[in-house]
Amino acid sequence: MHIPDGLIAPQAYLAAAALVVPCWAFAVRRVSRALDERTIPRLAVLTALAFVLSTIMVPLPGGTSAHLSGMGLLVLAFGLWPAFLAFSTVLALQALLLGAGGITALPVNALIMGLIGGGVVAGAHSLVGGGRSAWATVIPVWLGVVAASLGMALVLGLQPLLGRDETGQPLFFPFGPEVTLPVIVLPHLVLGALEGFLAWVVLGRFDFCRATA
Amino acid sequence: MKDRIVLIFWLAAVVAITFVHEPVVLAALLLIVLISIGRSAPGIARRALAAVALVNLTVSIAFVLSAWLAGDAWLQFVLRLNLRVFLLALLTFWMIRHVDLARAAAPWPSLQFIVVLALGQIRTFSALLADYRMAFASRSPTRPPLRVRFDGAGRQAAAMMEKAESQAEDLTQGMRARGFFDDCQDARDYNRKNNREENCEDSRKDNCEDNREHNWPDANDRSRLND
Amino acid sequence: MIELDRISHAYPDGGLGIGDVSFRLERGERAVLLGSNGCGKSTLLKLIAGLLTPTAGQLRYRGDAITPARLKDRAWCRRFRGEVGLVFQHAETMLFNSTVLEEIAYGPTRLGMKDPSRLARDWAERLGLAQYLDKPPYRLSGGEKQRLCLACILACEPRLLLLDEPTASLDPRATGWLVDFLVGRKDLTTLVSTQNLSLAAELGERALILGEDRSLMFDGSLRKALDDTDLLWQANLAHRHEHRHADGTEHRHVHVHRDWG
Repeated sequence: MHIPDGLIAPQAYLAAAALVVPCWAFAVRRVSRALDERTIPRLAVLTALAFVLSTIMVPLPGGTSAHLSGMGLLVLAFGLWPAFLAFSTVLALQALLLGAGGITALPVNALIMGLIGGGVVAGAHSLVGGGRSAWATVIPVWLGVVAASLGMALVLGLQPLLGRDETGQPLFFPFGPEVTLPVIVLPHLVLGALEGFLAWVVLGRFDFCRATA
Repeated sequence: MKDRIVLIFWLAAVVAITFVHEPVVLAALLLIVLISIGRSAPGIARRALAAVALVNLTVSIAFVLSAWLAGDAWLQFVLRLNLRVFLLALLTFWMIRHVDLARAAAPWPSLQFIVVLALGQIRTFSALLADYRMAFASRSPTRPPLRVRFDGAGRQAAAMMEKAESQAEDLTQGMRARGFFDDCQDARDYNRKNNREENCEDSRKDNCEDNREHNWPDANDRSRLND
Repeated sequence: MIELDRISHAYPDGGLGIGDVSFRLERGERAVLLGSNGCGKSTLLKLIAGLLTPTAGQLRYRGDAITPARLKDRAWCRRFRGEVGLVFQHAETMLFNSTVLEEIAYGPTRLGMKDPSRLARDWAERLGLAQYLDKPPYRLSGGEKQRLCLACILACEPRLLLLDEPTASLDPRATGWLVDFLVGRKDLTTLVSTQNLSLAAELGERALILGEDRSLMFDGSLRKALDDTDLLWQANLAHRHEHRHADGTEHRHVHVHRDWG
């Protein structure tokens, strides 16, 4: 989610940064160990893929369209840790090259969408026994997207608690979870299904080796 | 070096500004930044506005409505939100103009390579995706039904994934062919261990362990190196 | 310099890359690798460059067998990479530095050559890239990237130069430069893959033709190969079409367009 700078309190994004940086370090070590000399080109291509996938517009009923996050697809195709690193790099490139999404939102997005969302996809996929069937693809991706939207809704909903001025007006994002939960999570119940279905369509169309890391 | 310094200053400024809550101070900072940007201020400001307008408007209008219905104050918040978010976006777009990301990542060679490679690959994929979209449009005399468009999006994504697999393998071979994976680090490690100068040329000198191991007739031919 | 002894390569999915290819390239020889699309030219070049492992047969470079174990010997591998330069068909796969100058200087720096920056500038000048030295490689056009790849490899002063369809994206002037360069370098052993038969005649004296079954169907004089229309037809390097002569007669025969490019 492209949240601009200034909407998330320092307490939240600095805490997220403190949590996500060791996760990045761990992911780098895991990926390097698993892929050796192919790590750099593979990660670069995966990052570029994630970047471009996020520009693919998925048509929706009513003539609108939504962007793929691609995280679920990447996790199922390449494994959690490469996908997490690629996704984080994409968030950084989007923020630093295009100004799309704030740099302070990056650790929050990386943690929630990348790690938690991706982790839910990976975990659910292995719980249903793996494979490329519709159930084994759509449901984990749906769960991952919904989990990420829930996490994001809670983080944003927390902002009014993190600071108010002397007149009682919020310092950052102003709406609590009673607003953010329905507004953010409900559309993602549908978007998650779409992403899941699209992931199933894509993964079923070609055969490749998944880098396990 | 300059890129890294600009990046660090920008990051510090972004973090610092998130601690500033007074609209008057934010407005003053915004004015200072606009003046500092100079002639390109209108262009950069337009881009920054485009990036944040939708979110800001949505949040502002929703807040004003809810505050008005509850009889609460809203002006301070709306000013603070819009000034701060716009100021931060302005700083970011100004930074983007001045920072070469690849150069900024120079102290971390692996990260630098990933950034450089990713930027190149993004162009390749984006061009491919644009071609797919145009091809899809050119082959659709009328607007296709939702199912077909959805399937089209899936095919575009699948094409990207296949391209990614073969690109990754080709890139690996290209980098391997140029010795990226067996670079001078080995020579440096060897020289450091044997108290030699850190210079790859050492690896080609007569008494270098490397040359003794091989029977190529001109193993000690250094004419290419020293003319 | 390079010796292939019954080399075969199969892809992981079982598809044949090349089958039972044997030949030797001596120092200073200039050979042209011909064959239609998909016959294994790129695969063969990558095998010679040690990037793929043959599934059968043996490859030797200056007497040393090129094996995965040998390639793990970093010192040997570094020398091998310095002496054997492969210019890929798709230029973007070879470029990974942040500026053109760094890209060209990368190889010489890695090999410990003297003054890599000066070398890089010289080669950029020769290949018409001097004005792009500070640019990121991915911003160059297709032809510029191809020239950049050439500069990167040539700056390392290889002994064996492998070129995979080097003129595919080059404009005529750059193509002319490349031909003159290759002809002028008698010390360089070259193996150039191309489908451009008119150019082939300029690039070497010896022809290695891969057939559609991915085996070596001809190894001999390039001049003889180019004059043998049956051979070219069998190798899918020539075609038949309705051919109209100035006197109005029409017929089909095997036709070799020497001006493909």
